[in-house]
Amino acid sequence: MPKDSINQLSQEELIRGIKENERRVMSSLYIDVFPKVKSYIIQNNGDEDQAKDIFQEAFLVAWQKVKEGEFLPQNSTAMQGFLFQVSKNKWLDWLRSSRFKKESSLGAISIEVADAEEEFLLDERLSMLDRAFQQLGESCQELLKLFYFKKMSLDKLAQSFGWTPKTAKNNKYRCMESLRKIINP
Amino acid sequence: MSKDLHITPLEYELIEAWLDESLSSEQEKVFQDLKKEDSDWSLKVKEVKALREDLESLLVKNELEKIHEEAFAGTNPRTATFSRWIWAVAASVALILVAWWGFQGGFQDSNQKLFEAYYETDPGLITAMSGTDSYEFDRGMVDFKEGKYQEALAQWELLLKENPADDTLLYFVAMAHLEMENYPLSQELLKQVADEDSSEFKEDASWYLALIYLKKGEMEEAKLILSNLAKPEAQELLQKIQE
Repeated sequence: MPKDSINQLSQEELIRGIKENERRVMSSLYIDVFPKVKSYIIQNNGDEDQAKDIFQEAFLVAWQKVKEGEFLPQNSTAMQGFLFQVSKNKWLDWLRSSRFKKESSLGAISIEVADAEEEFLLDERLSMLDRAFQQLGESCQELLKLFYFKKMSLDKLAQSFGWTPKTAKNNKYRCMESLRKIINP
Repeated sequence: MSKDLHITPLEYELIEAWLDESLSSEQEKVFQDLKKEDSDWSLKVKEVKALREDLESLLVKNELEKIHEEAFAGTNPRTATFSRWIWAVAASVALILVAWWGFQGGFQDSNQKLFEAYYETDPGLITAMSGTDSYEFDRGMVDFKEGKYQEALAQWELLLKENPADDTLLYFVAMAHLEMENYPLSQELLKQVADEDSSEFKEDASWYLALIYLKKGEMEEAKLILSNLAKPEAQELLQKIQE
C-alpha cells in the first residue's frame, strides 16, 4: 500500500517522483504545504480562495523548476520550503501589483507586474487548452493523460488499450493533432 | 501557435524524441536535414514543445484540483488527521440524533439511522495510481471515486478472479458492493479482509463489517467487532449501541 508521506524518499526518488508526476509525491507535498501557505495568506490580507489559487500557481512553478533542473531539492523538507517560498513570493507580488495598479505609477515594481502578466498569459493558455481538451473524445483524453501526465510508455499504453504499439503511436499523433486543430481552427 | 503548420507523424515523432533527448543516430540525421530544408522547422519544434508542456501543466493543474477536493474540501474518514473537533461535533450531532430517535422508538429504525449517521463512503486511495502497477485497478479506482460503482466492479472483479487473495482488491470490491447496497456479498468479502491480520485494510474492513451487522440488527456481532477496534468512532458507536 502506498504511503502519503514523502519524508522517507531519497533525493533521487523525490526528483524522479516530481518528474514523473507521481500522485504520492504530489499529494503529500500539497497536503503538507498548503495549510502553511493558507495560514500565511490569511494572516496577510488574503482569504482561503486566494490561498488556493496562489498555492496552485506556485505549485506549478516549483514543479516545473525541478523538472527543468533549475532547482535541485536535497530532500522533501527542502522541496516543501521551496514551495512555501514561491507561494509567499507570489502572494507578495500580487499584493504589490495590486497596489501598483491603484497608484497607477511606473517604477521599481514594474518587473513584478510583467511577471504577473506572463502568468496571466499562461492562465489564459491553460484555460483555452482545457476547453479544447474537453472537446476531445474520452479515449483521446485518457490516452494523452496516460502518456503526458502519467508518463506511461507507448508499449504499456498499447497493452492497456489492446492496441499494437504502432496503433498507439498513430492514435497519440491523431489526438495531439485534434487538440492542435481545435486550438488553431 | 498562430501559423497553420502541417506536422506529419514522422515529424512529430522526431521532434518529441529530440525534446526527450532520445534521438537515435539515424533520427538525428533526418532531424538535422529537416532543420536545414524546412523553413518552418523551428516553428514546428516550438509548437510541439509548447503544446506538450502546456498539456502537462494543465493535467498537473487538474490533478492539484482533485487533491485539494479530496484533502481539504471533502470528508475523509480514513485520515488520522481528521480534526478532533470535527469528531466532537459529529459525536454531538450523533448524540442529539440518538436522543431524538429515542422518542421515535423502534430499534430497527434506530439501527438504520445509526448506520446512516456513521456510514461514510470510503474515499478510495488518495495515492492511487502508484499502489499497484495495474492499469485496470487504477481505472476502477477513478470510476469508484466518481461514484460509478458498476464500472469499477467491471474492472476489479476480473482482476479479483486472477488474484482472489489480494486484500486491496477484496476490500474495494466489497466497498463498491456496499455502495450498491449488496450487503450479503459485501459482508462476505469484508470478512475475508477482516480475518487477515497482515492486511492494512483489516481495521477499515472490520469497521464496515460492524456497520453491516448494525444495519441488519445483528447487535452482538456488531458489538464484538466494535469492541476490538481502536478508532474513536468505533468506541463511540459501541457506547451508543449499549445505551
